[in-house]
Amino acid sequence: MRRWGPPLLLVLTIVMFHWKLWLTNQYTWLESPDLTSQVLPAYEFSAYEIHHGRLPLWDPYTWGGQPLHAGMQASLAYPVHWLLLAAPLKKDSWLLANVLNWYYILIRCLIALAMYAFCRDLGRSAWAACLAGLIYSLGGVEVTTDWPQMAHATAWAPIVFLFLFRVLRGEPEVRNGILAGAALGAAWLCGHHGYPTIISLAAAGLWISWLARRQPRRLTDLKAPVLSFLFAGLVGAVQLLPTAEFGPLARRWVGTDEALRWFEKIPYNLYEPFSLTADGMFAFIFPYTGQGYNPFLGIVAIALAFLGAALAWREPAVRILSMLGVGGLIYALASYTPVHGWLYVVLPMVEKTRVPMMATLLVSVAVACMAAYALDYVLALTQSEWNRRFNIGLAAFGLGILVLGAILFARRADVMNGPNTFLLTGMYALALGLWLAAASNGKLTRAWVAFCPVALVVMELTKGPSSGWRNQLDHSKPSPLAPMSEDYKIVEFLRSKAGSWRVETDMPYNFGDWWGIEAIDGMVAAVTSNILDQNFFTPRFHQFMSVRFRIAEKPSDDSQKQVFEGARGVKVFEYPSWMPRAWMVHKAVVEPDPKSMRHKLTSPDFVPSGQVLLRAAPPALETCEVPDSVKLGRRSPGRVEVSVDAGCRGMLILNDVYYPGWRVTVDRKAADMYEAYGVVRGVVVDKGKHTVVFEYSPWTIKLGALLSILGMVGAVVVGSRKRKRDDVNYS
Amino acid sequence: MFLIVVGYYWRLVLTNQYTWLHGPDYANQVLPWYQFEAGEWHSGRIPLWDPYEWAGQSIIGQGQPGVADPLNLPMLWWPLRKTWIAQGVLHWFYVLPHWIAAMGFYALCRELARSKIASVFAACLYTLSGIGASLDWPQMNHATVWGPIAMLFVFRAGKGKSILVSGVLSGLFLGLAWLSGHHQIPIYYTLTTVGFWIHFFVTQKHRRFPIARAASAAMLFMFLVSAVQTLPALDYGRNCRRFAGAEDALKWNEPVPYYVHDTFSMSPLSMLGIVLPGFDTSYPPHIGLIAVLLGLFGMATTWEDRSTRWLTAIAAGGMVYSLGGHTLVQGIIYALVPMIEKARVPAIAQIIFDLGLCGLVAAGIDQLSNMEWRRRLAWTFGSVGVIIISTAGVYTLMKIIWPGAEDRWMLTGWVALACWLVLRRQTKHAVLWLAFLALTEVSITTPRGWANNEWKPRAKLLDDMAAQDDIALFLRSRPGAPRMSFTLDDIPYSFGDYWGIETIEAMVPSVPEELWRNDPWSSRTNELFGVRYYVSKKPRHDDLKALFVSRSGITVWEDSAAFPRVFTVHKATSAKDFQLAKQMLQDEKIKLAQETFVIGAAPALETCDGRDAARYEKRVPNRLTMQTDMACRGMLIVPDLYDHNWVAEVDGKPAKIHEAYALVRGVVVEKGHHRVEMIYRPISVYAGAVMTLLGLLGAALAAMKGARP
Repeated sequence: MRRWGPPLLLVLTIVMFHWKLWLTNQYTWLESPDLTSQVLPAYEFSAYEIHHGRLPLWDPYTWGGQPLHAGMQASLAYPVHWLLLAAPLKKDSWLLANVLNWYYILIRCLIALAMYAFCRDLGRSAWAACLAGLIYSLGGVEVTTDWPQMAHATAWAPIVFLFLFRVLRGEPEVRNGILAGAALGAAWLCGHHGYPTIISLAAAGLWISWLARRQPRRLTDLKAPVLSFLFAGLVGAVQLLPTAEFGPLARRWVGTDEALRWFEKIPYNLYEPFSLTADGMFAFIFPYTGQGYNPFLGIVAIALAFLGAALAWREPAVRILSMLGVGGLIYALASYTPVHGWLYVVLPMVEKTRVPMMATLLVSVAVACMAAYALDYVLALTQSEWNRRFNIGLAAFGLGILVLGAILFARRADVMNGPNTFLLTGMYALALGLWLAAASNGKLTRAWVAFCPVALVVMELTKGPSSGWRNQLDHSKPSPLAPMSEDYKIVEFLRSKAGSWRVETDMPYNFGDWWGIEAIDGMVAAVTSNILDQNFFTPRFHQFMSVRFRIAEKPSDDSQKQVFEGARGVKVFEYPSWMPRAWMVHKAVVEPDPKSMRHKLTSPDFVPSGQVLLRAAPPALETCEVPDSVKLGRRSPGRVEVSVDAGCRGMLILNDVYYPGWRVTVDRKAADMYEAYGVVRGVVVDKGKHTVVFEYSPWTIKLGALLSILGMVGAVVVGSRKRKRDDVNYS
Repeated sequence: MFLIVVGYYWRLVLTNQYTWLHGPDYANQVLPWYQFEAGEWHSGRIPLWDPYEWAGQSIIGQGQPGVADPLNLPMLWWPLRKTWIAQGVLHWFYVLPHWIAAMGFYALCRELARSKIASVFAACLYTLSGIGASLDWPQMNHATVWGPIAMLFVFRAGKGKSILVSGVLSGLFLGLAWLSGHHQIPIYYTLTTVGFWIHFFVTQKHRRFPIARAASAAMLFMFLVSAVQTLPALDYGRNCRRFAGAEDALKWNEPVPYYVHDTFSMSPLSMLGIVLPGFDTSYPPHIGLIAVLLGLFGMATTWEDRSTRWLTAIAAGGMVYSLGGHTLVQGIIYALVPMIEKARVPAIAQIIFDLGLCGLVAAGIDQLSNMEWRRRLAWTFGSVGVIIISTAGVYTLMKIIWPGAEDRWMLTGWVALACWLVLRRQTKHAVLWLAFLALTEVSITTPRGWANNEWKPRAKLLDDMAAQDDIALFLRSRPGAPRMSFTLDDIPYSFGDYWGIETIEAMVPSVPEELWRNDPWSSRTNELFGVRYYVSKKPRHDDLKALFVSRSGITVWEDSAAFPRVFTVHKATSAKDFQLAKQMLQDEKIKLAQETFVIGAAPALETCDGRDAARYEKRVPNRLTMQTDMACRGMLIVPDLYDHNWVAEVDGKPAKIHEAYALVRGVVVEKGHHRVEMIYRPISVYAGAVMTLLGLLGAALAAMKGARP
């Protein structure tokens, strides 16, 4: 109990902190644009697939079919996420709101426990480690990034640092390096590259610092960092390999006019909106529920961190943590300092992380740990001049804030949510000062000394993002989730229509994934360039891709006929004609120039059912008078079966997006798959009846899974070796 | 203390120029209730059913009219002036509970071994400042009277003195708090006492059983003593809709949404208002700089005393809770503890903060002899005074937008400097000077805001009400039992209760479910209820005829389609459920004057060619007597709101009251002449009264036992 009590208490506090989510049915964390439009639909699709015994590697419901796992953000390789996907669904196959809410709480608990473990490893007391866990889990940029694929990764930062700090204080570098690398690899599994990039940079910095201090320096010293990053690569391989394959084949929306290709750098001006601004540094202290990334940690945590730094400066860990925090701050300031620019230019791939603010994660780590140091030093009744200085500082700060708040109120100023937020901060500063004075003078028992800052931190962080969640009973504020549930009548109408076709939508969410209807578009972060590069918005292309219905308030051209009207003015329009999902062609034309091919495909005089356009040498096909018969058979997201009765040798076209991971068999024999028309799949079929099966079976995932398992087993083997805890130090 | 309280409220009781009743809720809602209740008492009836609001509803069940509040009774029983409650009586009624609250707090301080002078000082601060002084709603304010005494006995039990008796007596006073009629402050006091019982149970391991027994006794006696109010409120509450600030009126089992609590949480800005007047973004919590600094002084100097830590915990708890959505605590309690969600204004939990702080003030006063700390206190007063005066001065010079605040700040600053002077000198009368300065400081909030009767803009609501006597006189002159409706835009108060005229509209916090679900504003519903008159500037629809234009420019319109106030039908059908009944009520094809419908099995009625006659013999709020001549078996309809507590007798024999039209009362009457009576007989009130008497008796016995040496 002595060992498990504090972490249990920590978890209980985190759970109670999120009372809105599980003790009422009035709140949800999902009501932000990206979460509702993109993340939730992807979860719905993934969970549905898992519950039907399939791995959701390929998503047929967006953009003519896309590799969901390779796109990374669906977090399919992250074991914690499997808990959500495997959780019981409602009768009608929807994810339960409660399950989603508990998933959010689980993420927060894991983040807190990771920081707890780090602080305990730094020698902090259980109370102090709990305090750090609370600061790190409930405050900082990691709590405002409520995208689970990003938040998950923040849990791995303290674990990575736990092992790296062991290396820095002289514990076996290879063993701890490998474990740090494995933890880093796990961060890469989470589904977003932002935080893992930051953590990797910080890890690299710490390794460089370690190498620089080695005396005498030997080439073999490189073994530990190399092994560390090797294990990061191994453990993360099941995500990294498919993504590395997808990246060069895809284009990504990053805020530019056009989606960027893999080798196109994100223009530097795009980092500015996502950088910490000089005045935005106030946001560390004052609650400010603006959109996006917010590093709010609160005056209590920040003041405690400074106190910790002052009281424990002699401890090398504190100095390293300070450097880590300062490094994160400088990186987050992006264009305000040259450092970020240098890294942007010099280091490959770093430019892909377009949110420098994410680096304030390192500030959160540093603040949480140093606050833990402060609490331990105060608990130890350390008499220091710093206690008095901090008392005066906190009192002056608190009173100053009160006066400022009064002025703001008088001037009706609306800065950072007006004077209320200012005043709360002032009050907490005064309360912390009072605690410090009482604790320093021995007026409080040890339990109260420990409890007060924890309580203050928790109360102050209440004004974080969760305070901005909309109450679902308050219909005066719009809910992004409400329209999504209102479209069920449209879906009933669509499902009543026979055949196989696609829809195009003008909806604020990922209609296809949400309702399980194949769409030609969708809200995603990146799309394979073979479809995006087409003359995508032309009716000809949509016709080619079997788009039958448009779901929007208005038609996109006059030829479309309204066939149904759903809620809130959303209508269903039907195209006058559309191609079938699969057909046979008996003529192949080579068109090496992609531009010409795109132009041809959508030109009015081109008949796609008459000939196929290929980039390379076409296979030999035959022409004949006998008609072909093509019939779609059993279909699931990763497998499509087509029955063909070919009059003579021709090419079967399936207008799902071509992607390397797909394999095709004709009558169970492997066949070559062609990128027909530069975008869809084609396979040569001889005369007669055949069963053609397209199956998504990417080698990158298989190999990646093998490597990940190898990496994890290796890390477990290394980690299970008994740890030697000799007298160690950071020198 | 009596003199101090009366002197503090000199505007109300020593002049006839001011009134506390100028606020919208008091004038529009509270005053009409009292008017009705006083009228009933003076007519020899207990005011249980109010026929003047919403076609009739339980007045005791609503809670807030305070029918069972013993502090209301002297005011309601006091001789009326031409059927009106005299304003002077209302003013003394306002002042005297403050004095009783002061007495209670004095007793609490004495129990905590504070000196008499310190106890008087703190008691006056508790009742004359802070949220207790700014809450002018008597139904809330009266609850503040009993809280300190309840805490006294909880503390006494915590110290191990007559634990069981103390538990019983704390329950008694909590019960009295619940009788005040509003649930909010009693909930906060109950939570506080429960917190302490738990604390004592956990920390005092050697007497866990006696403490558990005392805590149980406290809860039991709280329930018993309050039963005459809480049981009818429970009965009514489960069948009504409450206007709680949510988008729609809420049912009993619908929690008040948390965004309502968020809205009514004390804002951090209001925390400044504890010290300085003018930051009243929610409920004015101004208790003054002197109280706050003396409280902190008391806390610092007597920290070793366990009662100081208790009071600090009370103050901190009250503060944190009142911040509502700004901290975590209130939200968790909201979600975990049943019924807490009904207390939708966390800001009012400041009363708990006030209780703790004022207790600490008493400790601080007694520690003024500690010269080292006194010197520190003096310098704190001096420096804070300088800061406030400088800031207010800068504001005034720079003409920063905030009219009216700087002068009050300036006064706080001067008072602080005066405290500095008082504390620096070794005067014997320092406490008296501090008391005078503290009262000066707090007197610039609530009393200063009261309306002068001659100041028309402030007393407008009351003047407007008085100016509508011609409407009431006209309506009373109409034949039959007139029922009217009005628009709150033109008549923003409970016209029915105020003037004794039956209405289907009122300014109340809740409405019976039967009425609410049947669209009380539809023409057919109004016709059924016999709403013959509409009082408004514009007619509700074109078929109304203007009858009278009042001095205030408001017209009385007549709807000739309104049903008589008692009639008979000979056809009854069955409706499957409320939804169908609601549709049938609005269905033009159904002639409501000829047929009725009930949910479930309809009674068998007869049709015949003869004509029925029905008329009222006597009509008072709790009892209706009618004479009928039925041509054949039919149903006598009384278009007053159905309530299950009404019973009927036909020729002295009990008869069933049907929920005719799923809305009003109907009794089946056989052919011939009959005398029909309907009597309001709420079991919950009778049972509650018996339990309350038992509780009071038990508490008295316990007190006598506890008084023995």
